[in-house]
Amino acid sequence: MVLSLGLLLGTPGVASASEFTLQGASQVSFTGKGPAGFKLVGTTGKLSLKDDGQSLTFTVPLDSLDTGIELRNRHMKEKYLETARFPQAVLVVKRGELLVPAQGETKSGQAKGLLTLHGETREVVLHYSAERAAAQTTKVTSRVKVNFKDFGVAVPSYMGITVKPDIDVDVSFEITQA
Amino acid sequence: MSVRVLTWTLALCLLVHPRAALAFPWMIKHNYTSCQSCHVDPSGGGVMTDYGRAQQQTLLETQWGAHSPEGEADSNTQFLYGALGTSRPEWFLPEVSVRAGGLFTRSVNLGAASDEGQVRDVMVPVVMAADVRAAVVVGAFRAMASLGVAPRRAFAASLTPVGDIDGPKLVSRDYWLGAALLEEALFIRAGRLTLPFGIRSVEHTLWARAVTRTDFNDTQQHGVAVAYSGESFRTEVMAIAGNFQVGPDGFRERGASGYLEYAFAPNLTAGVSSLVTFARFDRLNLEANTLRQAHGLFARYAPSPDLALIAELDALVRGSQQGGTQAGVVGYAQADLEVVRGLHLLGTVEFLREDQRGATGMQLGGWLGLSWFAARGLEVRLDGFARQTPVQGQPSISNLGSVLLLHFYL
Repeated sequence: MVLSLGLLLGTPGVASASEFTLQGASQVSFTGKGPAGFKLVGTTGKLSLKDDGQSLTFTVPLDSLDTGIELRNRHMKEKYLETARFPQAVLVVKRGELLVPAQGETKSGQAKGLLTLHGETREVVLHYSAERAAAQTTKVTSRVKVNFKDFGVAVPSYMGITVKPDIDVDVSFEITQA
Repeated sequence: MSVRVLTWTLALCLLVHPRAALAFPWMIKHNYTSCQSCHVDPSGGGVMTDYGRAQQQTLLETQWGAHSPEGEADSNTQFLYGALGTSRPEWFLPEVSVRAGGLFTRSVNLGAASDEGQVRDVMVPVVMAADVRAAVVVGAFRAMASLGVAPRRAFAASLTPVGDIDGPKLVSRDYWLGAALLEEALFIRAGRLTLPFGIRSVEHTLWARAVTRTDFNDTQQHGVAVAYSGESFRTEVMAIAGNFQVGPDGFRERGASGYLEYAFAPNLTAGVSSLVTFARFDRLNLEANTLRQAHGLFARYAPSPDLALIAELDALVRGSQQGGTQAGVVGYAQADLEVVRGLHLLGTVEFLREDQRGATGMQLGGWLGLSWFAARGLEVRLDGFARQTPVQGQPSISNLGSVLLLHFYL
């Protein structure tokens, strides 16, 4: 089934002009909910970051999403996300939207970003928390709510189970500042 | 009744009881923590929804052939391999379940009076289920009923008068009317229901199910239940009015039971359950004014998509006019490893301490099982088991055996 979105999301604190790069493992997941406690989760570890000094651009290859069930993956990619036509989800966040913690600090907040999914670009609000434990490394977790209808994605439905169009996308990663 | 007779009777009862519907708590391996997507019953088991039938084919069964390696659901998923075609309305969910095979047991009782009584072998055919079930789902309205034939036992589900001699009987294990509200999260129903308690599974002979009388073989009771299936937890609480398929009224238990299970993660849940009933005369233990209680914990965890771990621990308290108050404990732990799609290896350990059954000390048991969903609508199951019952002043009684079953679910 569906959803996923690519996810994009997350975004950490930034501010100075030094370039941010991803470090270590990243995790992107989406959670769709249906009737009576039905829930489906898709995950991928593939996340890339591009920092041009003005904005951070996060990209997720949607074909890498895995819901744990092959048939559901196929439906998700072929019927809903249509990954052959729209292979990526991209989130762009301006650096100025983000709070950057100093060493030993944790900062959280919300920021606006532009999400491109299924060929549609919409403004989204992401909630994030950034923890800078080491001098150069910041752990970031972020969540954004996405409505599939806003992006022209069909509402996933299979054998009488219909997923709600509101999807939670969670992202966690670590970044370093050169 | 002697300890020997009691034990053999108990062993045979536990092993020959018919058992009914599907219910697979190990579906948590696929991140299914709630039951209602696949089952009409909000707490699981029994009639499958169309989605549940599709998941059977997609997730449960060995896939043959290359045309649909991921098991795309098709008409074969439907009732009787889709024999009704499109004539089956979507609101009508019928199914047939037949589970039959053979049972071999060897009871070793070195404390028996005669050599003949020390080792006893039993080999019998068994029919654990021969039921037709159907549900109706129209908007918020829900209804479900089952009807079957039990060649032996299943007394409490009998629709026909049960005399002293066991024999074939018409049974109806569960039937109810209900409504699913609040986007199906809230489920209210009334009828003959499986008691909400602990982990619901097909292994009705587990001590945890048999002793608490919460299996879905024949221990259902009449009453009203309210279930809630939310994003993070599910629960069901039932007011028990008694089993009106047994009589006289003094045999009927009144009380309540329920559980609450919280999903800490898509692959990890834990819950609590509780049951309190009172009967003026307990029909199984033949004691007056019996207050029966069980309170426990249970958990399910899937460390990988191929492995599920399940455990339950329940405290037992029984008070009666003749026996006073006695405490006990029952529990089990089970691992389900899916070696390849559709082929499950199951290992189970269980224990029971319940003094009033004629045993003393802790009874221990172990099962090794092979469950193979070999084809559309067919499960082949082979179990080997061993149980040991300590007896005061005598050597322990051991029961060993195996069960081979074919299960057709159509």
